[in-house]
Parts: sequence; C-alpha cells; structure tokens
Amino acid sequence: MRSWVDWVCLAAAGCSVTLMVALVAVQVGYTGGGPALSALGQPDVLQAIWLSVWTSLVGTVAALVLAVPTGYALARWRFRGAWLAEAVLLIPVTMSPMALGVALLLLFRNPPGLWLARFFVFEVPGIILAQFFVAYAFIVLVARTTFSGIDPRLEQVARFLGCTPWQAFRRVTLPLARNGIVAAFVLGWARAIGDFGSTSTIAGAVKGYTETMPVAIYLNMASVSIDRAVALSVVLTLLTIGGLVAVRLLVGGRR
Amino acid sequence: MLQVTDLVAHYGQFSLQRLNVTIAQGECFVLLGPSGAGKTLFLETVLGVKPPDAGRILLDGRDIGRTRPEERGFCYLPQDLALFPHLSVRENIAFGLLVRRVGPATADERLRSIARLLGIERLLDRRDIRSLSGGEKQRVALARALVVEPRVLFLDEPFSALDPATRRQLQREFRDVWRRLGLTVVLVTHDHDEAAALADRLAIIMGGRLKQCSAPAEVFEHPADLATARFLLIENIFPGRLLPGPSGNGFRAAQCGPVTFRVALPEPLAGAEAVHVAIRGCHVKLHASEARLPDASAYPGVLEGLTASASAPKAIVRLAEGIRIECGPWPDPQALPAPVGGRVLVELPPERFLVFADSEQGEE
Repeated sequence: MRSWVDWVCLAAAGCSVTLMVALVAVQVGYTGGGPALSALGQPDVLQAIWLSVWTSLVGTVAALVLAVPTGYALARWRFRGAWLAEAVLLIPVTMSPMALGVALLLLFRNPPGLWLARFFVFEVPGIILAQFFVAYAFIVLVARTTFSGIDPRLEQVARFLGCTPWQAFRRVTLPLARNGIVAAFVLGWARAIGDFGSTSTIAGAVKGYTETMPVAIYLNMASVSIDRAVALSVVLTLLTIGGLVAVRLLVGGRR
Repeated sequence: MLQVTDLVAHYGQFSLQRLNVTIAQGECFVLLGPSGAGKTLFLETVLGVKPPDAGRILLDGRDIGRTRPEERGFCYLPQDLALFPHLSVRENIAFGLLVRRVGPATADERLRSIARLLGIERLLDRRDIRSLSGGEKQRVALARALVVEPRVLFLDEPFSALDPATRRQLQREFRDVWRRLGLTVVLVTHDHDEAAALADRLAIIMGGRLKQCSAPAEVFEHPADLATARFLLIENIFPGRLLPGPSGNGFRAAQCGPVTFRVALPEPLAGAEAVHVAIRGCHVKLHASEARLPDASAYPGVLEGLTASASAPKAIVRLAEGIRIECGPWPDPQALPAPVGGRVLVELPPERFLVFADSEQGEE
C-alpha cells in the first residue's frame, strides 16, 4: 500500500514530465511540423546543425579526456584543500555562460594568449573552447560522484592479483564507472551543444561562419524569422533528446 | 618466512609502535585485537597499501618494504571480499591469471583445480556474483586469491558477515585447504573463537602495540597483562591487595573486598601490593556444599543462576556481597549441584589464578 509520501513523489514526477512534454509540444505545435521539416532542407540550417554537432562532440570529448582523471583524483585522493580545488574546478557550472565567455576572452589579452587569439576569437576553435569549458565542469562533477561510489578496495585487491595501478583502473574501476562516464559525457554534450552565452561571446555570432544552432536561433529571432527560430529550436531539442535516448538504450540494457 | 622488524606506521594520530613479528612458512598467524587496535593498519602496511614510517619487511630474507603491492607475492581477502561486481564467477577467479598472462589451457586447468578444491565447480558459470550466498562468495573470493598461488595470504576478518553455522563450517574448510596447500596465512580478527579455531600462533595487538605472541592456548591461559585479560574476556577479575607473608602451602593471600583468595604468586610479583586477581570460568568447579575439598581452594557461596547464553551458559555463584564468580560453561542446568538459591562449594585452584600488579595494567 502506498503512503502519502509516495503519492506526493508520483505527483511531482507527473508534473515535471508534463511540463517537459509541454515545452516540446508548444514548439512543435507552433510550427505545425511542416516549417521545421522544410527548414531542415535549407543549407544554412544544415550547416548550423553540422557545426553544432561536430564542435560540441570535439569539445565534449576533449573535456572528457581531462575531466575523467580529474574526477578520479578528486574522488580518491585525500589532501588538504581538496574542497577548495573541487570548488574551483566547478566554477564553470556556477558561472553565467556570458561571464564565462568574457573570462575566456580576457585570457587572450596578454601573451601568449594574444598570439593564440587569432585562432580562437571569432573563430570556430573558439566555439570548441567555449563548449569544452561548459562541458568540463559537468563531467568532472558526475565523474567524481561516480568514482566515489566505487569501493577503492576493489582496486587494491586487483593490485594484489597482479595489476599495475593503470591495469587496476582499466580492468576494474573504469568498467564499473562506465555508465556514469557515459552519462557525464551526454550531460556535458547536451550542455555544450545548447550553449549560446559563452560561445557567442568568444566566437561571435557570425552568420554562416560561427553560427551554431543556438546562435542561429538567436539570429533568426533577432531578424523576426520566428518560424525558422522555432524550427531550429525543435531540431536542437530533438537532437539532445535523441542523444539521451541513445545513451539510455546503450547503457540501460547492461545494468 | 615473513619477518616484520620494528615496524612503525601511522594513520592520523594513531600509530603502530615498533612491531616485531616473524611468520614461518606454512603457518597460520592470527593477529587478534579490539576495534581500533591497529590490525588493519598493520595489514595494509605489510601489504604495501600504506608506506611504513620505519622498520623492515622481509620475505625470505628479501626486503620488500619499498616494493609495489603487486610485486610482493601477497594476496589479500578483505572483510567485504571485494569481488568484482562486473565480472562473472569464472572471470572473478581467473582475474589474476589473466593479468599475469597465464595461457588459456593452464589457466583453465588451475581454475578448475581450485574450484574443485573449494567445491564451487557448479558456480563457475554464474554470471551475476550478487546471486551467490555469503558462503559461496567467501569460497569464490578465496579461490580468486589461491589461484595465483600467493606466497602469503592475508585475510581481514573474512568471516565476520556470516551466520555462526556457516562461519564455523568455512573456518574448518578453509583451514584444511590452507594446510593441504602449505600456505602461509596472516589473519586479523577481533573474534576470539575464530582466533582460537584457526591460529597456529596468536598475537594480541592493542593500542598499536604487540602485547603477546605465542600458541593460542598459552595466550588464552596466560594473558600478558590486565588489559589483555579483559580483552580476552576472562570472566572473573577482582581488584585487591596482596597480604604480607605466606598463607600456607606456599600460596599468598589476596584480599578482594570481603573475600580472601589463595593464589600462587609468580616470582616477579612478590613485592607487589595492589593487584588484580583473575581466574577463567572454565577452571572454576562447583560442588555440593557438603563436599570435601582442600582448604586452599574451597570457597562457600550461594548459587544465583545461569548466564543467558544459548551455547555456553555459566553458573553464577555469589561468594560475598559484590563478589560473584562465573563457573563453567555449564551445559546441563539439571546437573547443577544445588538448586538456584542453594548453598554450594566453589573450587578455585590457587595455581589457576592470574595475578596482575596494578602498576603494570597495560594499555587498553
């Protein structure tokens, strides 16, 4: 028999799902589906989708490479000031994306940043840099939590069975952390592909050049092309939902 | 042979204080101590998980104090067993062989042989180790450790999560397996029965110090000091003082409240005054009140009842106000020499008394 707590939780979950479905439904409802499909056939839209997808994937993979060992270190090592290190690493999560973009821009004011500016500021690598920072903190956060949930004794036992520290990590900890790491990657990627603030601050909103999907939505809204903006918004939403579902299918089946 | 010499290690404010232990090939060495005594710190330092602050760890004469854990030839069975949850039973057992790149044919042969030895062949094809019972998990964890043929096997309270019947059965089985393989085993525990059942040699550790190390019977019969006696659950311990001069038959008298015990006094304690006297319940005998006993060991009392214990109840006798003696175990309540509340004669042989000078109480 369910208690009132169960009913409250069920009601809260029901409201949340309804709200999220409503968010997608109003977008689809506004365009009626047709404009979204026709927008998908236009080269500038396709280019924005493609730019968003590949830059966000590169940025998120780069973030993953750095964030997973960092999350592991935070979970396993006990040192003075660990909480401070963790707080510093998570700054991008708490910062406004626009402020993050401004901070990144300031990195390029002095040498060697000044020299590097030509590759990043108002350039496509700038998009990747912004997406890297946006995804990184999320991945660190999830990876740290994942590694904290894995008993370090498993690695110790693996060492006594003949593993080097790397082998123990690769053969024991990493497989156990796989679901968490995949989830971290998807969360980071979803955040990166949807980022507007820091991306547009460092890479600008140059039509047809640094025009990611969020930038395209912004530019279309600014030029009162509401249909195209909403169509792009639907595509972006479906892309992230598709990513989440794909991961759920990949990871969920092996629980 | 494993030799630990002057080992010092710390964890936070706690430290091991110059521990010296020598463990012979094929021996089951048990380290017994209360929680927080330093057992696990000792284990982790010798295993190489924590670096020692000082001291040497020698395996067959070779200093392994600075070598990496995987190069020491040790294997480790922690309290929670640490079976790999993402691997099947077979993969768990074969893990060490895979890492050591043992050929598939040899690996399969060794895996089957160890599974046969531990009676777990039928479990090899289980995919999910979570479906195993507690005892099965123990066997799989031991198989995983034994299959790599370690020089020394370390166990950290491996049976503590099992029910008493399974625990006893596994202790017997595991001891037989170790003996058959001639394996050197170091086991840490806080369970007296486990220590007594498994140890070839028993060491008591308390407060980071090694108090005593010898055959289990010797340790249980002659604890090194009062703190050790209390930890070993010697039932009857009384504070008192030694009375001057002999009290007949070469014994000394110890005044404990209203009762004067006759005790055989060890030579080094001859000059002591404030003492604790102790006697194990199993050395105390109960007789009917009219029985004839040597004066030196007979004490009249009143039978108050039995302690509440399913397996080993003990008779409680009041000798005087505030002085109660536990006798036994007394497995058959019907065989008591008097009804509860009746008068009895308690036999406390003077030579069975332990006497601890209060100046050397020991650290708890």
